[in-house]
Amino acid sequence: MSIIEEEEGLISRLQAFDMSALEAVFDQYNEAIFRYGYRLLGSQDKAEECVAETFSRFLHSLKNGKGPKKYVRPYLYRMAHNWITDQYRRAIPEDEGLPEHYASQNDHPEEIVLDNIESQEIRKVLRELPDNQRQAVVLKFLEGLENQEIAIAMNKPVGAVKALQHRGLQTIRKKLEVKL
Amino acid sequence: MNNWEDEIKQKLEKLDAIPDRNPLRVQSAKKNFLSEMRQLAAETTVSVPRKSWWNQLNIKKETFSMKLITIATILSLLLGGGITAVAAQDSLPGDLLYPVKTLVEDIELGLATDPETEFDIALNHAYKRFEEIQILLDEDEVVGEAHLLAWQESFQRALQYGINTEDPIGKLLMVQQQLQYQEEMMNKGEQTGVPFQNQFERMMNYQAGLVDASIENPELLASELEFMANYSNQYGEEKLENVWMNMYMFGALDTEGEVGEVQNQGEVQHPVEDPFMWMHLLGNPLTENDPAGLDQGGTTGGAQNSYNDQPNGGNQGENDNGNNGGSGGNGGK
Repeated sequence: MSIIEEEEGLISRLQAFDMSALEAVFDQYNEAIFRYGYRLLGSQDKAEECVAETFSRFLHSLKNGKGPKKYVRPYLYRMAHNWITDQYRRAIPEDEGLPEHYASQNDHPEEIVLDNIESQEIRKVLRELPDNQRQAVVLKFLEGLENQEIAIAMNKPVGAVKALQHRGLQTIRKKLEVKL
Repeated sequence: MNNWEDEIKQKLEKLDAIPDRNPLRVQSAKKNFLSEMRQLAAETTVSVPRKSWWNQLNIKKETFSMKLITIATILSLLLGGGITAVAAQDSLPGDLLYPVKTLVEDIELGLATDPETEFDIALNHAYKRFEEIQILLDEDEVVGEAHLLAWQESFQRALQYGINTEDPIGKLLMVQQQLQYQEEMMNKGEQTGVPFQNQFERMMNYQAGLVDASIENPELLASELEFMANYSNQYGEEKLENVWMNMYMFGALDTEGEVGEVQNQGEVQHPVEDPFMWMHLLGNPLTENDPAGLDQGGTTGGAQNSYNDQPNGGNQGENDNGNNGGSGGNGGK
């Protein structure tokens, strides 16, 4: 049974604002939304804010009779994506660089520095990507969602998602060639 | 799979280094979530019909036949008028090609198939209206009421599309941000004090108040927009625009006579600062006036019944066409 099928049973409980179901969704996905926020914004504070805003909007949507119609996870990613996009428009967030624990696990400081620079560059390139390319690429190659789920999150056909991923990788390649 | 694609994917993996979350912050996040969830669960659910104001105003084109017309228009523009359509993009209100520009915008909006895209397009159009006003000012051209109303209409259209998306609060935040930017840009100008400027400032203030309050309560915005739509349907767009412009020119108090005359409402005391002025001016759940009086004209029930958050304000009729609705909710205040 795929992730999507597992989630189907949840929907009616969520729509009824069943608090145990809501709590279960938070427990199941808050970590993933944190990772998504961190990867794109490069800040723990912003990633925590992303979690708080995403789940707050999720609650309000359900309360207003909206919310996911079939699948929870793509819906949450879409909300997180919207919030992150909004952050991009507001200001360029500060990149914290690699987390501290990463340095302590690595004995080669020059590698740490290079990795740090590279990850900041990649994050910057991702920020510069067209919105839909970024979403398609990150959900697939960083978050590991299936294309079917990404298609739901983006409200596009699977074929269009694949095309966006391909174009997104091409754009990243071009931008990295210029930067590196 | 191409080698370069694998290389890019490897580079993307650099972002897999995610720090461990602070357990205290995880706890705090969950606590806040549960708290908000319980608070919302305790609130009474309010059902607001999600009918588009612009559908009612016949601005949005959704029917199959209209789609065909849209496609035919695009084809004709591509085949015969492509250059005209492109040239029209830089036109300003009053220019010969300006109607072509707005037609192309309507087509763009008409072709959008999902609410997210519709919102993005509508917000972009709202920004274009602002740019046009800026350019007219820079060129010392006269900025008339029609320009201001076109700006307001485009903004409210964006709001309408925004609240119909899956993430209304997020969209309203985006509208708020754009409005703040526009206010900043206007404040940079040197023309403060001219009548037009005062009107535009009042318009912006009203829109800003509406957006701010709507972020707190998107459903109330839906009711407000629907209310305006019904008003426009009943009394005509011109009447609606007159009330608006009087309000922006003189403040809310002078609009009371205008609205009260239509509604036969008697005294109405709501300042322009009230973000949901329309519902309040035209008989809302918060007034203590006899709500039955609102329907004496037999025409305003639909919108008035669309929202009621007062505990004793039941009796909301189902009414889609705005005619002969039940009595509006009698507020508990």
